Amino acid sequence: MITIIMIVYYFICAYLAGILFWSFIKEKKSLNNLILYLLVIFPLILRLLRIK
Amino acid sequence: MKHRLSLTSLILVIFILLTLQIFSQNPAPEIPKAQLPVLITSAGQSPDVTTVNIIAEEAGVPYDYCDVPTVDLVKAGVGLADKESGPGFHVEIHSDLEKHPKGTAYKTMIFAIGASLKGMGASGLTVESELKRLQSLIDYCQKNNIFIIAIHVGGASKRGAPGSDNERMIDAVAPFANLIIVTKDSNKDGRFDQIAQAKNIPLLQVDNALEIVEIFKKIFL
Amino acid sequence: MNRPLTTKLILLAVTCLILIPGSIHLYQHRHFNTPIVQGPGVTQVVHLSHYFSGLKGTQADTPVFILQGKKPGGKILIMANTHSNEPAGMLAAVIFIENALVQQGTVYIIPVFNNSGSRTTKPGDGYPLYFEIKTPWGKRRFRMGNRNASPLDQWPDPDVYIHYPDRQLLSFIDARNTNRTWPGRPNGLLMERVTYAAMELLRQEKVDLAIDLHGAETMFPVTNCIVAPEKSIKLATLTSLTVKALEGFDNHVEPSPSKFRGLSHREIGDYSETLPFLLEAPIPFLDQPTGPKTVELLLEGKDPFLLRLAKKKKLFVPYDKTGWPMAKRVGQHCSVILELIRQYSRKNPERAIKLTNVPRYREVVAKGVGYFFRNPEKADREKIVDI
Repeated sequence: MITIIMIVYYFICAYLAGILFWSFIKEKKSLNNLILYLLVIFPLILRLLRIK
Repeated sequence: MKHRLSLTSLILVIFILLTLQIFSQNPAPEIPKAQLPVLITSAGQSPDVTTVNIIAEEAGVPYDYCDVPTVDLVKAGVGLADKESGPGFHVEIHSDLEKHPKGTAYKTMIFAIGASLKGMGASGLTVESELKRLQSLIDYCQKNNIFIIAIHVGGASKRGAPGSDNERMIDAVAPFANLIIVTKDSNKDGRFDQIAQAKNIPLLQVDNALEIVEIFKKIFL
Repeated sequence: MNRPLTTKLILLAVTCLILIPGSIHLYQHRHFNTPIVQGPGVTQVVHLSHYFSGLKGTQADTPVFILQGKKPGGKILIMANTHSNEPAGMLAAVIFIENALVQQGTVYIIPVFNNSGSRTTKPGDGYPLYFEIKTPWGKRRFRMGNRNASPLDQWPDPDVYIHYPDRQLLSFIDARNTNRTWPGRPNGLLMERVTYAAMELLRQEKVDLAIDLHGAETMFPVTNCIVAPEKSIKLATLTSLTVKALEGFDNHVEPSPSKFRGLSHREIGDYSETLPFLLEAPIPFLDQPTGPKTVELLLEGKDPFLLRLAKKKKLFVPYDKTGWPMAKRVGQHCSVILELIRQYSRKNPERAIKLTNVPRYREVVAKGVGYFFRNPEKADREKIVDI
């Protein structure tokens, strides 16, 4: 059960990272938003790659 | 005859001189004797009472222990009326029941001095109620000629400013004791010397608590 | 020229420049091992999963060194790095593994109890990733870990950690703290499985004594002490009195609170026949009001801010310009363990544990911790174990 919850969390993590990356690609004006998307995606990538 | 007389007087003079010499030396602090059975208890509910229990065990002194005995429980004598340990109340019976059967009146009580709010709290006591309990026990001991030994082995951590919890525990027990035993680091300010001098109580000071094992052997065995 | 695309590419490049080197450090730290040598007393090395298969293949599995004497006797378990940011215990455990000769009884040693915690760092605290101990043959490098297990191994954290079996509500972070998850359960969180495996070791092997080695801040009252529950408190007190009389260092006894659940010194005693003890050595590095968290502070324990606090009597241990060097902390752990063993053996001759060749406090302080480490390069390959 615990392992299943953990896997679900990894999917949530991947989903959020995907949304953020998609928003990053779609963003056309705001430089601030671009930087923000990358900052927020940072820990998600570290977790998905099982680094931190 | 003359010779014999002078020899006798010489021996006599030497004997007198030797005797004078012996008596003029500072006598080592005399260790008073205490009798069994003995009850060990805490004055302030600090873990130092465990130290005293261990010292008694190491010295081979059979003892009973209760952290929060009332006068009625002390009156019940050896075996402490078969009371059982529970939360905030601990009893241990190690008295020699063949020599001192259950119910035998205690002849000595040892108070391990040291205040612990955590310890008092666990036994449902406040500083005031603990002091009241101690006072009633001391009164009972004095009325019934029970020998009181006050011990402080907690060092500086179990001392404090005048009027602090630890000092109040000392005031509640030490001036009424028949013997005070302290470690050096508990008596850095000479407070126990002052009490002992003022009340003419024998005071024994040791470098570390383990030395009390030998003192217990001399006192009890 | 598509300006947004260029900007995005530049931003992505910068992100990668930050992410990749940083990640490499963290990845290397998680996979770094210290080779240690099985000393002449080690008779077997197993993993904790040997006692509970639920740990097999996880990052929480960890080596257990067994030192069995020829003569049967009592048994002791020594656990270190329950909190891997308190490494003095682990260094003492390595000294035991590489040196101890057991004549009677059995000694079990787990040098890195929370293996997962030892392979992560606390974000935001600026802890060093490694520290090195000087030895006569060079330097030996160890990981500096964290108090709690890595979220890579146990995730997500609950909102509130409900302790099993007492259902006491604890902080969410304690779900990854192997000194809050005792006595554990076989189907619980990974850290509950770690403590359950250790409980199985204690129960299956009928271990007499369990010693959990820790470090605590100098501003925390439960420091420089032996924490013991009711059943172990006499042995702890006798040990404390003896080390003070014979070796001159203070190590007072703190009673284990009966209502605070999940701690080794409480649950081991309540859920097995074993007598538990938790040893706390002061670790100035963990105090909040210090300067930078450097390796030097970790090893020497010297800090000007703590010195000022000591003058104001705000610390619970004596503190002067000499700080609290690692050798002093490791030496204390060694002496207290040896004294607990000696006193237990004296009181229980039929379950005696006899061991030699482990230095005591004064020797460790005089010669340094590294003096007692064996050189893996000069040891047989099969004698080397990575921790």
